[in-house]
Amino acid sequence: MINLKQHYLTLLVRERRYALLGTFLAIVTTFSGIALLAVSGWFISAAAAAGLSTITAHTFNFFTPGAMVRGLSISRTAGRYGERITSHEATFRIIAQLRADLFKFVAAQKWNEQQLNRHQVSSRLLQDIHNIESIYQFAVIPALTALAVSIGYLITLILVLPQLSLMVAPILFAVCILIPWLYSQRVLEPENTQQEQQSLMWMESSTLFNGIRTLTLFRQIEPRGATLQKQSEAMDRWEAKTLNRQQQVLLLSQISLAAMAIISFWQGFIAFNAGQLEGAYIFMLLLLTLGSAEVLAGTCPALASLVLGLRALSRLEAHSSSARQIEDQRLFQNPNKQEMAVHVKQLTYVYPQADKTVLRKLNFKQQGPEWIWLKGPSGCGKSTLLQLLNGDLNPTQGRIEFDGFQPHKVQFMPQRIDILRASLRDNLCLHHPHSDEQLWTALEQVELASWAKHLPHGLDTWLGENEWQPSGGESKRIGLARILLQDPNLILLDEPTAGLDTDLSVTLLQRLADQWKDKLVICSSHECFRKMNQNRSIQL
Amino acid sequence: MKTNPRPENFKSKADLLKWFGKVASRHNQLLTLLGFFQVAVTISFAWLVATLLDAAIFAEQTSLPSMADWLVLTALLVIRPILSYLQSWAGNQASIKVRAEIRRFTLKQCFSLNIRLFPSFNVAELSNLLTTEINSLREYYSEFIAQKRLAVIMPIAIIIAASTVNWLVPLILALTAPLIPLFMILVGRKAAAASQGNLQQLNRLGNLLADRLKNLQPIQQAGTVEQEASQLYQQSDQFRCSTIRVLRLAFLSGTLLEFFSAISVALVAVYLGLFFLDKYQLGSWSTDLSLAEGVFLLMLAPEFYLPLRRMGALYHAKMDAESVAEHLMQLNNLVAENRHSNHKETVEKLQKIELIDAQSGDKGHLIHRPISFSLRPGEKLLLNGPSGSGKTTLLDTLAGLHSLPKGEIVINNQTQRLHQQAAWWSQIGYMPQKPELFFSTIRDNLCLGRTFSDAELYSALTDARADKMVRDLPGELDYQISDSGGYLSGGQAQRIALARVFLHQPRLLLLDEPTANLDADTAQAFLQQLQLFCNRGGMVIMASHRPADKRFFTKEVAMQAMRNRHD
Repeated sequence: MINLKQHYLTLLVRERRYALLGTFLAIVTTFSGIALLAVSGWFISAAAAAGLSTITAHTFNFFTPGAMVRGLSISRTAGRYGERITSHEATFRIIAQLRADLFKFVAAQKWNEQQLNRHQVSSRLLQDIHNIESIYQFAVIPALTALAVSIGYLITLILVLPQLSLMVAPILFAVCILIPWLYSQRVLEPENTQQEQQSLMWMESSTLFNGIRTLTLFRQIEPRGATLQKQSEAMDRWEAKTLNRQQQVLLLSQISLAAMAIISFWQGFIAFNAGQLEGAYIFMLLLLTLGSAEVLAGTCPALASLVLGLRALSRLEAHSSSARQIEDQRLFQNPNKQEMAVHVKQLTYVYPQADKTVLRKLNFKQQGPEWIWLKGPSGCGKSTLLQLLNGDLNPTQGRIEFDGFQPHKVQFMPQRIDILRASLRDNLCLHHPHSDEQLWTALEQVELASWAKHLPHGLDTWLGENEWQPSGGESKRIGLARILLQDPNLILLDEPTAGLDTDLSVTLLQRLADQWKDKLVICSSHECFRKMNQNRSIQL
Repeated sequence: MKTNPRPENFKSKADLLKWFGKVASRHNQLLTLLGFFQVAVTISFAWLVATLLDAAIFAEQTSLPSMADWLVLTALLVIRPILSYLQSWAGNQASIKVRAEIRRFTLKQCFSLNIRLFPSFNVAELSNLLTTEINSLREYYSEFIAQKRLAVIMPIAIIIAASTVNWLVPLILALTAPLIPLFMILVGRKAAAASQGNLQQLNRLGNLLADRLKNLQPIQQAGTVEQEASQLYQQSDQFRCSTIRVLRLAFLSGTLLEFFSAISVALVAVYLGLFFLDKYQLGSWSTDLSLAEGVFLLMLAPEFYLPLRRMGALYHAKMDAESVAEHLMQLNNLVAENRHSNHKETVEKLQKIELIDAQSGDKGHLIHRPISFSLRPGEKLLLNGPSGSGKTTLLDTLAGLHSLPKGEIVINNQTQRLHQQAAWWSQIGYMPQKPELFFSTIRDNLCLGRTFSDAELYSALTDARADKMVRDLPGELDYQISDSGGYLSGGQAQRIALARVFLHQPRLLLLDEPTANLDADTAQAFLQQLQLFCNRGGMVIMASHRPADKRFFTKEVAMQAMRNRHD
């Protein structure tokens, strides 16, 4: 198990150049902004006092404060620009690496065993990844800036008016630590619920649109829509309520900061009255406090982002350790043996959630190349058997043994073909090196060559969501082409021609049978096998 | 509290967003009022601080602030966050109202389009629009609009307040202010031009991870997770390079705001300082300037740009809102293209259906060659033809989901418009290609809002040859169907869908490839069941390209796609 939190830290350290520069510039910018106000305040009140008599007005050194004010306004402006550029640079660098790493992490796990809703799983994952990506920019930088501001503020107070620093310290503690902690609790608490509700709404809408024909004909579309509308409104109200609760904590933080401003102003007057402080410093103190308060008000959201990010890291970690990390239980023997064989012994599978036995003590053995049809009424476990053979599921009882090849020589074509948002070429190659010639041959074999030729950019046309969307039948044939290109020894096909015209199906299957005559093919199909040269079939 | 009626077409995205914003007009008025209060409190606070400082350190007879002064000062400082709390509350309420209205609008448009939504949109896009995207409008309506309003009120109020004591300072502020939108537009254009070029690339790269996580299976199967990860890294890195280039420009506008905000404070401070030191007497209404006036002006200077800066921080909300508005516009335009009358017609009890030279599709794009047939009780018609010959569209049209652009449908010797006629829907049973089951119990899926006894349900299931299968399931009729059929296979799901259609005893069955997912024996049994239905006086129109089915039908229509898409 990887320690993801540690991994994140390593990434941050690796990109320390930009990360530190970004943080440093953020602090410089913030300091300049606060100092600009404070120095200006001091300058005009000191100048006003000096201006009362002509002599002091004449000797007053206005060059230094004037230069400071100009310098600070420039460093604030330049700092802001630099900070935004570097912090984005750092964020993007971290994200690039993080995305690759998290992808590897997620892809190492089997998700189909869980029978979870794809949308829910992927949106949860994406939300987590988004939260992790936000850690640096929305948590680390603002939190460190707030810390630096409180320290800077305290040090200035110790220099100018020591007794004030003691009074302000508890407020700073509350505003920087206590209240943000409270706030993050209020953010964390509803986070899961919100995520779940949103997924639920998404699924409801997707059901609505998927079943739009049936729902319309049964006059259920309006009531369903009304229910969806009501649920969404309830969710909005709930969201507003939780936001309101968060705002209450922010209000608490801002009132504490207001108290800090009043105390420092009041103490300024007292010290001035006691002759401890020059009049010009009172205004400076007030502006310093107000400026710092504005920055410190951002601590709550910063800490909340941090907590959300850390929780997302833990959740991903927990998933990897708790999810039944299915170890491949298939047995691959004598990979170098000439003749290949499959041996299924006493295979039983029970769906964990439904407690429904799909396969009971299935036995079969096949030595040497053959095309095997899986026959049986719908629901008899054809797909399940293929998934078991592919290692996506693990048998409840029994074993599966292979002879004469290695795991990567088993290729499975599922019923639903996933099309990547990438070029047709990438969709076919899947990172294996294939020449264009090989790709075109494969496309011809699955009768997609003329389709591909008519695509706007041929092999380089992007497919997938928001791009060129292949139809169901075209997707199926892309799935077949992928398998053809990967040249496996054991080929598992789940309804490879469902949704295709019969003539085309027969043509395709005959061509494939020809192509794979020295391979072992196990295929579930219920229609075309009658038309094919009779091969072996297994009745489930 | 109904606002003006919704226009048929929105002029622009901004127009659309604004129109929906009006739904919450009362909350918006409250927000404006709160904005004025915020401005008033800010100015009063500056004024009070100025007079207190002046009285204590500058006046001839110095006096420390009184208890009353402290109370007022505290009150002002506390009221400020309370006002922004109220602002957030009112903003959220407004945003709830607006989003509810937008959702209602979206659903209404979707329902009026019905299956015409496809292929312009797909299910995932529509679900995203209805949930994630409309939700993402929250900040726009709750915060951005309020902040935008404040960004107008505050600068004007500050210029007015400052001009009561001095004319140069408000002039400085007033001169820099118009430069900001000007520069923002200039820089924004540059950035837009820079990003337009690789917008599609950015869009692709930005969504790549989401796509790969959703479509993990082929990559896992190909055993190339490592390669995909390193490609993801490279692409994200390219994304970084191209994005940073755009951001360098885009950040200029934010920096400009920062610059003016900083420089105006600096200018005001230096100007006031030198004025106090009697270097010049420029800009004031009188020859003299009190410390109170100076402090007042200096405190107002940073507040001048504050709302604008906060608005800049919420800019992402505006971008999100615009992309949602874009999609809503697309939907609205599609509705405008597909207007149809909602006139309800009575449809007699079906005795005979006749098609005369009917062509389905769109007016400008007819899908198949004209077909004619007539069908009486007990007859079975096969729609035969290759994929893409318009079988599904014709069935959709016969089911009253599409209008018929060319030709006639004659019911009992009377030409009839079937589109969107509920009276027709109660007479037919349509089984689309996908069984369209819902995540619920089998009972709910069969009833779909109607009530039937268990005996009736089982009788329909028997007719669809699904009774034994249901009895074998745990919980029988209460078995929960999960994600896209759960543990039901394609064929099982199809039989449940057929039982659902049998339940309301339709006169006419429209079936789209019902046997495609059935094994030969089940398919044969299914056809026998259809024969039973026809013997009782039912009619069947079925699309199929399974040759084994042919013998079963009494009539056959060969469907042919239009050869040239433009003729």
